[in-house]
Amino acid sequence: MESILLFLISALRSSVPVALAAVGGNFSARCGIMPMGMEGFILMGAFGATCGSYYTNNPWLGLLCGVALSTLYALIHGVLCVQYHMDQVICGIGLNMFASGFTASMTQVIWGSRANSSSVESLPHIVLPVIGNVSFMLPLAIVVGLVGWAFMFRTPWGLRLRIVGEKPLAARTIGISIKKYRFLGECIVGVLCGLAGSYLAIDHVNRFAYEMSAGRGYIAVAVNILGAYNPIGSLFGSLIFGAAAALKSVFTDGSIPAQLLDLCPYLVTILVVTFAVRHVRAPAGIADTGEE
Amino acid sequence: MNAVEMRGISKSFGNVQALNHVDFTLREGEIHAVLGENGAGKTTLMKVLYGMHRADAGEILIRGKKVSFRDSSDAIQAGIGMVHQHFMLVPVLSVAENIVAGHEPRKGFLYDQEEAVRRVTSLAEQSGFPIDARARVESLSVGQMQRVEILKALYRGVEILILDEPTAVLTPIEVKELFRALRVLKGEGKSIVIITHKLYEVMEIADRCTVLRDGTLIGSVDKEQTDMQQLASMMVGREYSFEGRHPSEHIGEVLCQVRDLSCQRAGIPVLQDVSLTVHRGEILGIAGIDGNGQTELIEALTGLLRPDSMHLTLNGKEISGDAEDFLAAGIGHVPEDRTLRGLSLARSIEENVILGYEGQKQFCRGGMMNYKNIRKNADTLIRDFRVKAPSAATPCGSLSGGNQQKVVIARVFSQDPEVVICAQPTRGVDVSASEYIHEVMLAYRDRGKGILLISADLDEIKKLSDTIAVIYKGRIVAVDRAEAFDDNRLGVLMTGAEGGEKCS
Repeated sequence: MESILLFLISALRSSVPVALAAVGGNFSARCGIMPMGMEGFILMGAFGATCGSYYTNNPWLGLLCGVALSTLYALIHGVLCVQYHMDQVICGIGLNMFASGFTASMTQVIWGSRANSSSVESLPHIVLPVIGNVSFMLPLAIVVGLVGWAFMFRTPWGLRLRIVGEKPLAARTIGISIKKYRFLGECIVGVLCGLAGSYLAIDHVNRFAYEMSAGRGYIAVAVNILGAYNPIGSLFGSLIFGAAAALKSVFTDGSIPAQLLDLCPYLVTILVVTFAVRHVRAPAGIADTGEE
Repeated sequence: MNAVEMRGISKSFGNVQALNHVDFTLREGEIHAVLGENGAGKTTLMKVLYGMHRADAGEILIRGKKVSFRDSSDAIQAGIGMVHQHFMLVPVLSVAENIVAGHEPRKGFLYDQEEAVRRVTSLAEQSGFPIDARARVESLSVGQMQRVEILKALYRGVEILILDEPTAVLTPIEVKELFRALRVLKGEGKSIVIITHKLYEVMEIADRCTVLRDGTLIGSVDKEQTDMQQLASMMVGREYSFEGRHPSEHIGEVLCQVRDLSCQRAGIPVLQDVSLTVHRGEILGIAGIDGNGQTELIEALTGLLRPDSMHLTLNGKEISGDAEDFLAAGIGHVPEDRTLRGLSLARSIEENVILGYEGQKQFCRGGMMNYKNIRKNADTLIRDFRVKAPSAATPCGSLSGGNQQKVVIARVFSQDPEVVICAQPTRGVDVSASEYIHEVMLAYRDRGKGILLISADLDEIKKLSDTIAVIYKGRIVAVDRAEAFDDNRLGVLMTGAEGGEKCS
């Protein structure tokens, strides 16, 4: 009993960053931008949060820095893809690679090691019934998912955002600005990936580590699809990956090699992309610039 | 007072002058046709009016007031609506959502779906376009989608409605319904522009007509004071004669026979027990609304798709295998979509005119391409088929639609196949090139070969076919001599309004 509860709590914890990023990815995909850069956004968020916390000794300012850096980074993606119509996937991957190199070099410059930063102040936890001591980002992720769903499917702006993502030219012909809604999408994915990154660096642990996003940006893309591009679907989808990641905390006795357990979330990703997503229709306007 | 006055409008895209000092006047409460061949600038002119393109020069007056539109929302504000040739609808959203988007009814911060459905339903009933406001747009027929587009404009309270080639995708019955609706709107005082290249539509629905050619204004005329002959000459810039049908003088023995063609896609039958016979010296036209199995029929008969069952004989010899075998056996293929299957747009004309035949001895020796012969072949075809191009090395992507299609036609017909599966041979091709392509097809037929013509353009089917077969939901519902069909009978059969006729 004890161990099952432990597993569930661990699964919830592991799913928080993926859930935040995936809900952000929903907004990006629904407005017509393939969210391939989330890996880099998360990494920048984590790095920004660590720097902020390190220099100010205030984790809340760290969080702010993380979100700001990630959002800025997402806006670069926006400028390249929305303003200049460059290939969304290639720009995303390029930004991911740059983020990896940039954060590693800066870690070396600031803390003298490529692998780790020094430890910094981390965010205080809250106490919830049953679950106990957790990050405030766990309830926040749930709220973000619900509010995100309501925005996307129950408000006029959500309807317009979806039209931009389905058929940008149609949006243009009724006077809906493609740029406005796509930059809105980029901002949302930037902010939420910033939260996800901050969670990894100054909440889950208390330092930045080389490549600490560890593929969560890509997993979030898969969760996005699995959840049928629906924020609430993404919340549930991220639980599957959280559970796969939490297996490590169950089999601590070494009966299964840790490396195999580490593999699980990625294995699940491949399985999901191979089998589960066949019936999910992506927004038709992804990568469509809406020009003639 | 004029609803719209456009003066001296010029617009260029890159080096291409799409519009050159064009004037256009739309009077209040009239239906005005804008007539011209493809590429004449009709759509560009209207997109300038609708704020989608910015004119390089010239001015626009709406009801006497000068305006300058930054984008379509400004035009909508000024009471202008446009129904585009390619529908601007989002297939996964509902009718109501498509119509109200941009001007949604709200309940606080939220979008009020119930109110939207109510408004759309009542608007639809008022305008005589009854429609289910909750239906997903992708489940509608093309005619219904067009209604949604018109309702979209009416919902925004437009006084000036522009329709870009509204009849291109409709069946004859739907065209009649559309025209009836347009007359109702005209009666309510709306001013309507229809862009078209079909002359009889001008004569049927329009009050006045403006003719464009190569981006310049040829003239505006009242319908009462003109006739089809004059309009046609204005449009193509030379004397144009209306030729009627050219029925075959000699239909010979059976050339190509298809029996028991059935095919399923994702478990749904798309072709059921199709049997067709093409004789020597015959053009067999397949009439039907797009999406009733035509694509699968074309693919099956050219070896691109392996149907569940099919017996295909050419000159009594059974044919099977893949596309290469069909081609080698003497079945030519003019694909439905020249940019998708007909041509490699990035490659030159000389390479495109040997696609599928590149292994022939004259083009290829010992595994090496013989570019001297390939060039010679292309030069001959460009001359024979009147392709307008700077040279044989020109990439096909830089040719106009009509000339691209001529390249496809040249490739297929120059190889002298026994029978040609000719799909949409003049889709998106201007009048002059269409005329020429039709001549090529008729001359080919008169040499005792056979053609299976599949076209969404009913006029083309009626003009060229010796025999017409009607396809509906994957079944051939009627086969008869072309003279035996009139618009009414075809319309009924194509929409499946009757259970079909008995056919032999």
